[in-house]
Amino acid sequence: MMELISPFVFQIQGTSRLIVDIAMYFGLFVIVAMALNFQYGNAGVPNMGCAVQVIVGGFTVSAVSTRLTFMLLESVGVQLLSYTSEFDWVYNNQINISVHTNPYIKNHALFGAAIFLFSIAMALILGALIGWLISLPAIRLRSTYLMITLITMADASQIFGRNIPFITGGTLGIFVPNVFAWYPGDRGVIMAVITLIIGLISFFIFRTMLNSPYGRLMRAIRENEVTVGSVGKHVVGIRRNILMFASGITALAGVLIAFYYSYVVDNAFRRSDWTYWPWLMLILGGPGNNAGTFLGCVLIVAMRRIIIIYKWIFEQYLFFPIQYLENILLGLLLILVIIFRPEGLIPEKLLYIPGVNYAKLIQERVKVDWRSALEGRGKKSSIKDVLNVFRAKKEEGNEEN
Amino acid sequence: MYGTYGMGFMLKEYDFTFGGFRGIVVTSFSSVIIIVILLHILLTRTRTGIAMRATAEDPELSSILGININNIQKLSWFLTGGLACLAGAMYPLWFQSYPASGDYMITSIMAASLLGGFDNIYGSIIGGFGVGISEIIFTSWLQNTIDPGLGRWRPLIPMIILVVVLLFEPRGLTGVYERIKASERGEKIISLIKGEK
Repeated sequence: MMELISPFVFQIQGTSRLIVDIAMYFGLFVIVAMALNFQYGNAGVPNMGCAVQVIVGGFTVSAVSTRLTFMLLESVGVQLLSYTSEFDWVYNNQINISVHTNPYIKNHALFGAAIFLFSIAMALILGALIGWLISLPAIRLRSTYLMITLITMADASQIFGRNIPFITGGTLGIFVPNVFAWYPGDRGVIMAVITLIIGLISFFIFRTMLNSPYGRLMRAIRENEVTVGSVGKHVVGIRRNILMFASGITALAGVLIAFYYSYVVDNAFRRSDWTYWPWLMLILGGPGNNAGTFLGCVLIVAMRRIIIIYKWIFEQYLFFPIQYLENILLGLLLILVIIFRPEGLIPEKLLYIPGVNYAKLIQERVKVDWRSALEGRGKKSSIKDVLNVFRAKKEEGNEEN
Repeated sequence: MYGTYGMGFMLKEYDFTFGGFRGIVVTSFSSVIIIVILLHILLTRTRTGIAMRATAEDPELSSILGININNIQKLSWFLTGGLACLAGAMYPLWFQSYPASGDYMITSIMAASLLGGFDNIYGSIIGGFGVGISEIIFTSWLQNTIDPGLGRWRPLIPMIILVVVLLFEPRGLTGVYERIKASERGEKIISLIKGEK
């Protein structure tokens, strides 16, 4: 029966399974935390609604991709059980997926890959759309109001998912097609690898954006909104764009976790899992700093997965149910970090753009064309050059005296 | 072993009755009135309360005037914690509660404080009653008249209130009151209510 539901899931076991699990969750949380770093650390948009965007990714897979897969399979000629009414959608789902869909994908690898890519593209679009929608009430107001709205939106999206069976089958959840059924090995491994690759791609996208003129504009907004507004920039529009862009990226995490579980249910996207834990990772690592985000992610994901997997060991030493240990740790770590290292483990450094020759900049007061700065990556100035320039200037001053 | 919901508890049977009502009804109402009167006296009549309001208005300016902002903020946190704790102590006398129930109340609380306006304790009373009544009475009225299945959408009500308030009047009822006071017609209505000429 287990094999019927999800073939090849349990090929890897023991410690290697734990490592695969940690890698997968690291990939997922690094996407969310990096997007959060992009919004809060660099632009000062306090997005407390990461859970909404992750949930949108999950719902995209269950409501759009799964339905599209069924439609395509029917047009190809595979006999499926009825899935049009609410009841059939929920109760015939498992047979449709495990008996009809997954064997087809096993023989048609391209079909699975196409569904996967479609889900990702759809999640980017819907995530950006939901980012725009949730920013409507409060993006113009003080950041406290934005935080409050976004916190509550996470609950709202869960309520929609729970009460409309057409999305995720209500409280029962929906099985989604195993798009990597053609892969002969363990599905967890290929999912982890793909998640890490997507995480890496999004890291490069975020880094490029942060080093671009738009990234400097974002930092300027974080430091002082009024000044940026007085120079003629549309602060509200920029904040909304940032929220939309990061929402799209965050929704990818929802898609990936849906395909990793092969199952979507609204309760897998709780607010504490997908909003508060990424915030803790961000605060622990140091906001405004991608290296810090990575460090915080590794530490916290490893800690959480080890506690979850070896909970029977930890349970012996606790006087309360182990379920609450997670929330207690979350609060405790947050307080400890805020008291002892409020700037995070790796504090934010001054912006260093590869390609800008800082030594020359100080020496000659050259006008730098910041837009073309990224193109000249080869010329890298070292700290020695800068020191030499200072020394030269000092000597000049001495001569004048 | 125990699950998440296995930790649920309810102290209904330990409650006393007073004049046909459950004790908690009497206690909660009277404690609300007493607390509001005490807070009003604190915020308008004492030096500490006035300093507190000044700090909320403009921390830097009040620190220039010699107010110790740190102490004032600590005191206000102290009061906040105490009041929230009081509410938490009363909660299990009426509702089923478990260690994570705070997570489920947070939306209603935020909607209530936003409806009332963040800078006004009287607004928050009206906001609290408004959100509570609309959540319980409005839902049960809808269930009786239209469809019993509508009860599952109940948690959405505070969120709708929140979004509507933010879209139309971010300062809540305080802002509405001030807007009425600013217009000529509103001035007449308010003077009529107060019994002035």
